[in-house]
Amino acid sequence: MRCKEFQQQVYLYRELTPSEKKVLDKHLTMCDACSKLMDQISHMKSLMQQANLFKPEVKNPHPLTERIMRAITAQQKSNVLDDVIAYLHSYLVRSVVSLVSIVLVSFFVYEQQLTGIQTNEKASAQPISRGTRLDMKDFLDTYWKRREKRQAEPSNSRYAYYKSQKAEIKL
Amino acid sequence: MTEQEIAGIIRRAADGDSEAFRVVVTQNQSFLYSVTYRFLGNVQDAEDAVQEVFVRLWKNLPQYRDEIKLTTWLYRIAVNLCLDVLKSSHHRQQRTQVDITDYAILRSDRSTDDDVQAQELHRLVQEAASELTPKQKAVFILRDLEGLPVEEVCNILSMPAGNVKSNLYCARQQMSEKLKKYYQSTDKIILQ
Repeated sequence: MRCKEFQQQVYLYRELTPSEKKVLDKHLTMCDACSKLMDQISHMKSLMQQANLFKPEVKNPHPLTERIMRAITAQQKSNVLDDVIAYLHSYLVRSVVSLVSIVLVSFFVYEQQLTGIQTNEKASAQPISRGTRLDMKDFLDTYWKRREKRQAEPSNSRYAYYKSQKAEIKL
Repeated sequence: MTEQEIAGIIRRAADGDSEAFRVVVTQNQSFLYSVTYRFLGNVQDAEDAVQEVFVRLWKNLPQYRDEIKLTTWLYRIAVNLCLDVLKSSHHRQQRTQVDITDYAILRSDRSTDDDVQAQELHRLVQEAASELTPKQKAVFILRDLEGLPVEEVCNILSMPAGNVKSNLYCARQQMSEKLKKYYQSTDKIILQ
């Protein structure tokens, strides 16, 4: 074994198989530099064992346990709401709601068309009455008639007075 | 507790029994705290991480299968959570020195001078480990500090053995360089 191969494996000495360890041990008997490296690594291992004597432990385990259980209880409550939302989001519920919406819209459109046909038939025989479908032509006819009536009658508004004054000045 | 009893408790907890889940928490919170503390370096973050681990376990316990051990699953959740926390910029800003006073001394027959030396050494190990990459740090903590076998580390990190060993090689090499400066400069005798 060469020193380069030894250095590539020495840091994983603990993870090697017994036969692989034998090869490395044999090289150590023949190479001083690699023996020094092995000593350093053994020292590092001892230091790690020393450092590992300080194991992190919870000072007060009971309060931490209670805190965790409170978080679990809060999680249980939010789970119920999540289940309801998930149910509403499910494919079946969405399909049913979509179908019902289409039926309602279709019914509404059908009823509107039906009402429109009945209104047209009635309008030809009777004047326009409130509560029927809005007809723009009828609305505009009514507007023009009212305007002509207003223009025929004198106005008492200040605007109309100034307007007439302005017209006289121009003249 | 026998394995059957533990499996029964886990099944009851998976069905929503909070008292059975309390037993799971009390049995496992100590080693989870150890792992999260080694990753995050302070009490508050470690306790928050432990709480979050158990909340995630509670949410996903109905999907638990007996093929993997519960401890492996808990380690996996804890490591992923800690790596996410370490990546966050908030944690990088808040990072402070390791608080040694939160540690318990396992051996009671040590003298005060030994304790001081061991404390200092532990602080150095934690600081040196904080400079490793996330994968190297995870492998180093699980294998060398927690003492888990390589196969379990592979299961926890979902990494092939070759990747685990290469990360472990790099981590140990870097730790060795950093600690060499310590024991060469202090010239102390390594305690057995």
